[in-house]
Amino acid sequence: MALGWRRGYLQYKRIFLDIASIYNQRREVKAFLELLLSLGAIAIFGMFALRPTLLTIANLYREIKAKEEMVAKLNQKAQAFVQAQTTYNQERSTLELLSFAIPDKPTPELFVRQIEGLVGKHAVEVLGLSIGKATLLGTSTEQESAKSLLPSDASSISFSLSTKGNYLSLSSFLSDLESLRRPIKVDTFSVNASETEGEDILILVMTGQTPYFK
Amino acid sequence: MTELIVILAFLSRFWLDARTTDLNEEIKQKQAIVAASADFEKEFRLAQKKLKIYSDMTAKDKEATNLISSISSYLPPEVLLVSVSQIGEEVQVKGQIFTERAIAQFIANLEPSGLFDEISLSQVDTSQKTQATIVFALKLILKEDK
Repeated sequence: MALGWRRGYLQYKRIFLDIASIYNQRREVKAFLELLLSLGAIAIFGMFALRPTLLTIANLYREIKAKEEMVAKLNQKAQAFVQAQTTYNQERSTLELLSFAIPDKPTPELFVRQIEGLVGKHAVEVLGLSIGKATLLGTSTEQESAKSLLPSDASSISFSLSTKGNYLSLSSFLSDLESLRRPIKVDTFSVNASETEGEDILILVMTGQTPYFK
Repeated sequence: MTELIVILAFLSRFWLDARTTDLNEEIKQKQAIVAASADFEKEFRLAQKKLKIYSDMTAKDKEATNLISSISSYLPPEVLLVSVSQIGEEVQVKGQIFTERAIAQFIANLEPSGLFDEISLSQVDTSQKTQATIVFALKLILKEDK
């Protein structure tokens, strides 16, 4: 029994020594074996150590790309702000006029004052002027304006106006009314000729809306 | 070689970590700049909206004035205009004449103007005051782009 074990040992030792001598003598075998062992080592490292690192690297790379994109967008936005600020400062005087044209509140008193100015300018007589419901203070709890006829987002106050005068004065009054700094949208209008005390006069009745933006 | 790959992998990971930290810092700074401009942005957008409303409302120039002066310019001399009214796209013109021929002339003048999609005679009657005059009413439908 003990002899069998010793014989086997000697046999395997001889085989190993033969392989070792072949390994030392033949270069191609040496190179092949080294390559094989290197690849094996890479595979083992790749599986247990490199794989998580490579996955983390891939995630970091994606994260960096997304962040770089975000930085680029933020840069673009910052640049747009600078440009917008320049334009805004250049047009500041025009924008002040815009706040008269489209005020933040209904300000019906300013609108009426403008109409009064036109009435005085063109010597027409106001027969009636009414302004629709408008919230002057606080927040409106209901929709007091008809939004459909005006551009989107705009709120409006409605008005109704009737005036009388001759053709020329009424015509120029209407023309100036339609060119007010605060724009109006004419919903309906009618011009009727009538004879009063032997004098031909025209009566203009109109309804419309003027915008504000809250 | 294996060691080289491992070292490279770890080095790149450290570099990427450092880059992420830098980018986070940069983003924080830029966000602070953008946040500081939030009030201005709100003001600017408000101005943009107001400009849009204003330009939309003034896109059509003096509609009522132009309509009245256009209709007046197409009137034959023998037609006396009594009223012009507009509700939406519908315009009604009332007048007085002495002969039917004047109505035909008025309609013939209006047709090539290109202002209306439809022109129809809605009323022709003798005047209650003076039998010699004829009162008429025209119904005009404005073209959508006018």
